[in-house]
Amino acid sequence: MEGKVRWAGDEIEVLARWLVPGLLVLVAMVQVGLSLRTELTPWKGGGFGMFAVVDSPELRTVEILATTAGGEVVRLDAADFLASREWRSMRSMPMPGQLGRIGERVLSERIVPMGSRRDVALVQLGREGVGGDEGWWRPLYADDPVELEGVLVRSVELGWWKISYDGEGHRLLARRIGEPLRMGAGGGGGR
Amino acid sequence: VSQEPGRLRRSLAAVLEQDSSGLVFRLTLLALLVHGPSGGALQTVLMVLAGAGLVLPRLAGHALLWIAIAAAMWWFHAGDLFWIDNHKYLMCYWALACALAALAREPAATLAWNGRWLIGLAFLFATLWKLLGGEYLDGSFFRYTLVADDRLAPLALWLGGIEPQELALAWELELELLSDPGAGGEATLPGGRELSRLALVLSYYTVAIELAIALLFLLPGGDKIRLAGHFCLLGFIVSTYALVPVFGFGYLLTIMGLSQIKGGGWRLRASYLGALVALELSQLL
Repeated sequence: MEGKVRWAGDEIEVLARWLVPGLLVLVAMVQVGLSLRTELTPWKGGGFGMFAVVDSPELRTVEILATTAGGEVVRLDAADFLASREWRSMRSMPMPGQLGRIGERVLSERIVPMGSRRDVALVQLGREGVGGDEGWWRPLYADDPVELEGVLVRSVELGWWKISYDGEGHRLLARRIGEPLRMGAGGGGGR
Repeated sequence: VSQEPGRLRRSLAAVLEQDSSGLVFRLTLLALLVHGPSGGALQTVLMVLAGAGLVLPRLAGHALLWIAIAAAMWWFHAGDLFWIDNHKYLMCYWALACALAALAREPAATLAWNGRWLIGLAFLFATLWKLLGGEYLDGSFFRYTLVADDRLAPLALWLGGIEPQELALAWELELELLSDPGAGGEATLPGGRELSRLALVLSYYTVAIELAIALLFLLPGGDKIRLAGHFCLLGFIVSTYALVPVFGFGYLLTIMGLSQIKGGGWRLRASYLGALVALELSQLL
């Protein structure tokens, strides 16, 4: 090799041999421990548990039921309230404290029905609006039409869920992870 | 003009006879460039560094280049430890191994040592998880995955006795459960005996080949053990990544396998290079 920087000494040679395998073992052992004790999915965290179990981050979600100031119970998508990087990490390792962070953001935002931007456009075209998207709402964005004012959220209920696979019955089931969290005036949405 | 054929011959010989560390460094730079992170600052940094290493031959095995690459990878991935895929961890380890090898007295031997341990340990933990998870020996992981993962749909349709309409409905049911989990309900997935048999075959094949690779790379042994390890690794790369296109992982395993070959093992070297070409070509299909 040309123009090389060279280390000298056997100690460094030992480091060059054992540092990398040692790091892999350390990280993987921590990941195995965390996965067995917490909700960290075996797919993530450097323990090489991908394709080992059904329980992947894609099968985890947060259900958000918000009660608007007008008393309507609507559903929100957690991904709309978080940066994508934050949302991805949360689904790999759900923790109760994360729900509080999402809840605070929901309570501080104005929300609108999912299809309302299209509704405004349809009204301007002289057509009839479609009236939202089956109860799904989203935050009011800065670039939304001025006609959209949005409404405040009075209370919210948030809960972690995961889709589990029952091998014996070859069926999928939705299961709660932990207890739901209720925030805001009156203690939250609910079905 | 008469000197041109001689110069070409010398250049070709220089490529073929370069020590294995030169080839491994260059292929790793190529992997970072082609199958590195997509988007974000890390991609830009790696494109500049890996591109410079490939364009300037003196830089390809230079310690400072590899220290910069390893530092960038560890720095940018540090905030995403619970999200990044396992092959990104492996890429971080390998970049660090390249930096250490570039500093060591014998780069090729250092790369070979680290590659051997990384392959062996990664497959050991992968096998451990498949046994710990409890969804392999009864075939349940693949029974679900064959139906739920669209990448395995061709297998489910050809060998699992599933109809296309059943698959489409199963994907819809899963989406519906996920979008409104609190509404209750459960979804029974399609699949009978054929699917169960296929799931069991895939499960035992996966555990067997991964355990074999772990043992053949980790245990001490002579040339025959090493050769068996190479065959298993090549078999795994071809059989797995033809179905599940995690090319970054396949690429990295191929390069680490290549780093193990000493001296004149040109057939093995050609096999690994062939596997790399096959991985690239499979993306076109």
